[in-house]
Amino acid sequence: MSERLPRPVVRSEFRVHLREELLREAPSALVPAAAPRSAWWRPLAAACAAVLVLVAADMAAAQSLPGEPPFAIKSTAEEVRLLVATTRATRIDVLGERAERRLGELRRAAAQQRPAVAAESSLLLADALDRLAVEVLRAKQGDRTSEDDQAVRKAERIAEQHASAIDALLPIAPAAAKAALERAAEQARKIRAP
Amino acid sequence: MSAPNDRRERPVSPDEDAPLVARAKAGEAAAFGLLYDRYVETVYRYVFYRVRDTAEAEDVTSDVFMRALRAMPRYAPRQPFLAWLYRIARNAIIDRARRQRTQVSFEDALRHPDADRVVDPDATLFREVDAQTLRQAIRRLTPLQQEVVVLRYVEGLDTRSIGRIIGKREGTVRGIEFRALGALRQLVPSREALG
Repeated sequence: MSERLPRPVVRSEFRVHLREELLREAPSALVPAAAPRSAWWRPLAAACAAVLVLVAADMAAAQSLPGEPPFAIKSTAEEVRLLVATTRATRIDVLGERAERRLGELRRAAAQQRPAVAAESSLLLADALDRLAVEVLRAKQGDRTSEDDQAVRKAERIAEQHASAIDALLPIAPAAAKAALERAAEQARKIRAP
Repeated sequence: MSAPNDRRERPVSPDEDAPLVARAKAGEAAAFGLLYDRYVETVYRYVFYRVRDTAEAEDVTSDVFMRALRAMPRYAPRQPFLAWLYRIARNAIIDRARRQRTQVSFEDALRHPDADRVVDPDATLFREVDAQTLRQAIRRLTPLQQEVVVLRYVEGLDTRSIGRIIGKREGTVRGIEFRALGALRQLVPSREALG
């Protein structure tokens, strides 16, 4: 057997045309590849990405209202902060901030004329003030450190602001929110009581 | 059985490619142009017997060099440049065949009506038939058989070189070649059969 296949030859027009086409494309195609990153940077890059995601999620959650998906993140973060609060003063601070957030949410829900959200926000506000009142009353009844005194005074100021805000909201609040708002107002008074 | 090399260009060693490859990787278009000049015929021949006609061979050859150009910045000189081009060509042919669904398996080839025009198995294969007939027969081989036949009988490479290109051992390459030739003997009609 003669083991030879005919050897086809490229048409010269085609050869020239393709060469021209390649050289036209070359400046954009032949961009040198970026040097590979050292493996050392990868965990750092992953950590930065994770932090960014968490920050973004936290920012999204901060603006959320009860019933919205990111609200669960905000709520969980608050519970975690409460769990890691080891002193009474810190717990009062955390609960005070939580009550302020609930009031802010209630105001936004009222401004957006979302009665269902306003009703749920009112309940959550009342719960937040309940928990704050319990902690403040415990502090007032027992031995207190100077930090506790400071936290209690701060809580009283918060309660005062809440009482005024709730008084203003009650006349315009939807019916479903009124009972919870009255409970919240009652807790605010308890916190301010000597 | 040996593949004559009488009309082959002087083989280019990978070392000779290295400076051009480095310059092309660094963004020098002219260096890629020189690599193209060096290998366009080789790639074309590799493609030619595995597609239907000249127009398709040119299309695939264009595709191969365009792919190579775009992949050039990522090319790792661990493997010879030509072996890398062959790999791109193989993928381009496979992609095209998938799109066209015209790649015929070996078994299909043996079932083809033309296979009934069986010729004397000892007759010369390549000497007595024209390129187009051979091309049609080769296209009925399996993709791997096509590749081995072209590299062996067009490029005149030895089994070790072919093994490096297709990623198989020499013995396997010989087996593929043996089966490919057997299939071709059945697929290529003799002059007598053609009348």
